Amino acid sequence: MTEKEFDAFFKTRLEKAEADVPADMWERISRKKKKRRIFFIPRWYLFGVLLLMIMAAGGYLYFNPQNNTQAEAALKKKTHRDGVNKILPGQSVAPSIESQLDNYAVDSLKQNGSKEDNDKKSGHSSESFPPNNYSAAAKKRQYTDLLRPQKNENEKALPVAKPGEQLSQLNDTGNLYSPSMVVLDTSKTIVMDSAALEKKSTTRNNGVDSSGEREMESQKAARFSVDVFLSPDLPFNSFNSSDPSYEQLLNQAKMRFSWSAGARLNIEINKKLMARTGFQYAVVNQQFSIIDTVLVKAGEPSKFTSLDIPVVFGYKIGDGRIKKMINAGILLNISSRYSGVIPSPGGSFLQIDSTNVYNKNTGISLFLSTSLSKQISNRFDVFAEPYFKYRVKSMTNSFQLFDHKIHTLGILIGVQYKLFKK
Amino acid sequence: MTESELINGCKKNDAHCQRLLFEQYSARLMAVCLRYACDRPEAEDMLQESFIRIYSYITQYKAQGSFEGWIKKIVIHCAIRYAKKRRSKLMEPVENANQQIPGQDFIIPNLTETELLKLISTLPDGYRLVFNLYVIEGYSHDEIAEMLNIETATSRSQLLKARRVLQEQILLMQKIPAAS
Repeated sequence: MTEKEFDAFFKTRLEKAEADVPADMWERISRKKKKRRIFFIPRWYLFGVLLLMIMAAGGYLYFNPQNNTQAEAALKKKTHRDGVNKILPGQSVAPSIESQLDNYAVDSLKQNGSKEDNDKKSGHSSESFPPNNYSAAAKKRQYTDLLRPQKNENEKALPVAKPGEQLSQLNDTGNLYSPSMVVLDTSKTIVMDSAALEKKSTTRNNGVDSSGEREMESQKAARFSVDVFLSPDLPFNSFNSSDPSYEQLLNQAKMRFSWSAGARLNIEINKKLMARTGFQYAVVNQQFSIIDTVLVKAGEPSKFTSLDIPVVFGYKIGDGRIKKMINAGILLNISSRYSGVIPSPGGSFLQIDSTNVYNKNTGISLFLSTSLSKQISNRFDVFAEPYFKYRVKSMTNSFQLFDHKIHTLGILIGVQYKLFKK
Repeated sequence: MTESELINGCKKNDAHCQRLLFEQYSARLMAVCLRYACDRPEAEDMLQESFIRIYSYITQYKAQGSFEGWIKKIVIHCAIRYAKKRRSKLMEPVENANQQIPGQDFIIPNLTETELLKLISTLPDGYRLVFNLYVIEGYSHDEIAEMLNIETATSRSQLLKARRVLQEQILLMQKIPAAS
C-alpha cells in the first residue's frame, strides 16, 4: 500500500463519518446559550468598587478625629515644656501656670459650696466664688490669693530673692533649687475678666492652641489633590487568529484620531509615595477594509470606547522645581462599547455593536507612566504624563475565531488642584 | 424545510430551526470532533462550543460555498484553539523530512469507522492535528503551517510520523505479519 492509498483509505472512511451524540447535548447547548444572556455584574467592577471603598476608609482613618486628639496632646505637652523654661519676671505668667489657674477657677465654679464652706476650705476670710454668681472683682481677689504664698508655721522661711535673681543651687535649708528656676514676681497678679476666662476654658476644652492648629493644617496641606486631564492617544492592535489570511486582513486596519480623558484623586501616603484613583474614558477610532473581488472596500469607521478605573501608585523621584514621579498600576475596566464594523472570516463586514463579538467588560490593563509637574500657583500644578497601557486579556468573547487586544501609548496633559492650602 | 430556510430561521434566532440544524449536523460534527479531540469528554465539549459559535456566527454566512464546509471550518478552528489551550507542542526538530516509511506493504483490515476514529485519537496531539488537516480535510502543508504557526517542514515531518504510528497500531491490532 502506498502513502496515497493509505491516506485515501482514511479519507474515504472518515470524511462522511458519523458518531453517536450524547442524549443531553441539545440541553447543554441551550443552557449555555441562555447563560450568556443573563445580566451579571462583572467581577472587576465589584473589585474596583471595593478597592475604592478601602482607599476612602483608609484616607478617613488617617485623618480621623481620634488621631488628631493624640497629635494635639503631643503638641500641648511640647508647648507646656517650652512654657516652663521661659518664666521671667515682668512678663506674663507661663501658660502652664495660667492653665493651672484656669483649672482652679473652673473647678471652683463647679463646686456647689456655700460661702461659709469655701471660707473653711481656703482658710481665708476672702470672699468665695458663689457657684452661679461671681464678679470680676471676686475673681481678681481669688487669683491674688492663689499667688500669695501659703504660710506654714512649721516651715522655715525660704530664702527670699529679688525678682529676676537666680537662687543659689543649695540654700541654707538644704533644699536644692534648679539653676533654671527663677523667682516669680508675685506682686503682679493676673487680671482676667469673665469673658477671657470663658474663652480660656473653651480653648482648653477643645484642645490645642492656635499655633498647634496651624501646624495640623499644614500637615494636611496637599495630602489630597485632584487631577483633570486629556490625552491624545496612539493605539495599536494585536490580532491573533488561526486563519492567517483573516489575521492579515484585520491587521490592515487604519487608526484614526484617538483620545482619552479623565480625573483622578491623589492621596499622599508619605513624602515619596502617592496613591491615585479615579476614572479614565478612552476612545479608539479605526477603519477596516475588505477585499471585494479585486477591489478594496472600506467599511464604516469603528469605535471602541472604554471606561476604566485606575488604581495606580506613584513614586516621587528627586527634588526640584519640576516634580517627577513614576506611576504604575492597573486599570479596571468598568464598561466597554463598540460601534461600526470589522471584517468577517466570510469576507464581508461584521457589525460589532449588535452581535456578540466583543465583551462588555474587558478586565484589567496594566498602566505605566512618568509624570512631570510644575507648580503654577498655591493650589494648581500643571503636568504632562506619557503613559503606556497594556491590555492583558482579549476583548473578544471566547466564541470568536480571533483574539483582539488594543494597547495604547499616550500623553496625559492636565491640571492638578490641591484640596488644602499650603 | 430547505437548507436556506433552515439557515434563515437560525439567523432570526428561531429555536425550532436551531434545533433542526443541530439534529441534522450533530452526528457528523461529533465524528469530526472525535477525530480532533484526545478523548470523548473533550470531543463533547468541542461539539457544544462549536454549535454555540455556529449560532452566533450564522448571520455572517453569505451562501458562498457549502454550508457544511462552513460549519466544519468552525469546528476545525475550535479544535485548534483547544490544542493551543493544551499547549500542544508541534515544533519538532526536522529529523529527515524526506524519510520514507520503512518498506512495509500491508493490507489494512476492514476496520469500522469507530475503530478508525479510536486509532486516530491515540495519536499525539501534533500528529493528529496535521494528519486530520492534510489527509481528511485536504489542506496543503503550506496552509497547515500558516494555520498552526509552524514550519512547512515540521508539518511534513508530523504527517510522516502520524502515518508510521497508525500503521504500527494497525499491525498491533491485527497481529498481521508484514507482507513481503
